[in-house]
Amino acid sequence: MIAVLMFPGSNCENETKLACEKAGMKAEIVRWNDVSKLGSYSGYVLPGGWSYEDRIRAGVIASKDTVVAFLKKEAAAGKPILGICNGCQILVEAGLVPGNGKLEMAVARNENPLVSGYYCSWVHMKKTSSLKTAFSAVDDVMAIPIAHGEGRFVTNDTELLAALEENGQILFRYCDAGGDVATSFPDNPNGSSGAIAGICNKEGNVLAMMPHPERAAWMRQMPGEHADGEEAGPGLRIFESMKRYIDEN
Amino acid sequence: MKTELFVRLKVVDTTALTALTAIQEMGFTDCVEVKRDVYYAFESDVDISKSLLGVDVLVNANKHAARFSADVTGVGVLVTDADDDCSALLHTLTERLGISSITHVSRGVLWTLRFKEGVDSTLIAEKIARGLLSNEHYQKFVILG
Repeated sequence: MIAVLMFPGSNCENETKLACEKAGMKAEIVRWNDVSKLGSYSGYVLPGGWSYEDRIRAGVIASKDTVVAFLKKEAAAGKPILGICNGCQILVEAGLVPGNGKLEMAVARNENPLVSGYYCSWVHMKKTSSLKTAFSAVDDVMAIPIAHGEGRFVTNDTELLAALEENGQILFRYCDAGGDVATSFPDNPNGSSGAIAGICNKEGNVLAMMPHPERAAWMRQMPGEHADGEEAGPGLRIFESMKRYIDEN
Repeated sequence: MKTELFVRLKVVDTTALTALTAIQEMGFTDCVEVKRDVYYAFESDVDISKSLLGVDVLVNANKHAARFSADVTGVGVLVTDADDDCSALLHTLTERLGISSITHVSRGVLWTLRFKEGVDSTLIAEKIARGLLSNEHYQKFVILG
């Protein structure tokens, strides 16, 4: 059973639960302040939205919640944890990703020549690591939507990005439709350092990603016409990969 | 000349209340009050004070109180984004709203923290600034007061 953790202001919990279920997992939506059953879940998904209205900055208030302290123990136990968009921001602010136990990065305000603030679009991302993780069994290049105002991975640690690269922790990067890593807008939609779209911890069981795989989990969600809209979309592979990891561990 | 503008909600500031709750849950129970101002600093050749209050972009008189000096009754923590050049705001003020003498704008958030008496409020405020109010990877803070 997967817990889809709903914070005050989350707004993608239902479609995230549906994506988990389409991938063959049982899932239920769990409120942030209901800690009674937390240890019984085999994995966790932190969905998108605006937890606590993004007060102070996106994800930081939720990152101080009791439930996130509990997630740190679950992460250490090897359970898979997926943070999507606002869930990604929460995991980064909590130091669960990159995962050395301290705040190592920020998911900062977008750098975008078209608009300041919130921006949504279809982009492409590719898997750029051979690290075996709970989320790696995906297509090499996938079209996927983004929707955020603060999605730019940055760090003031000059050695961190190289270390993440060496460790294989930069799981997803923005790219163009042909799979070349993005060098500028619009392929890199927010100015993220190294075109980073998703980062995992060293152990590979915690992933923080800004794009929304649950919005690309059915072909009917994808741009264009599709003969069978109920077929799996590319985003579903991430949830299926999570299921496989749980089954194997 | 430099003009500083501090904009505070007249109505209940739920962001400041949320910050206070988070601060106390982090263990900083000596902090008893949080106030929040949006902070702007402008460079211009002439006095632009009246012009700034005359455009609704920065101050809505129905819900905001604006001052040209800080009201720090406690310890102030001014947080700014390191790479926020405010170019869109500068363009709006100079090109669309006609305050053409402005040459530079910066902005941030001024948090004013009030503590119980007898504690090292500056030291605690700095810990709160590092732990909650700013993210050192893209923001800077200075302690005031």
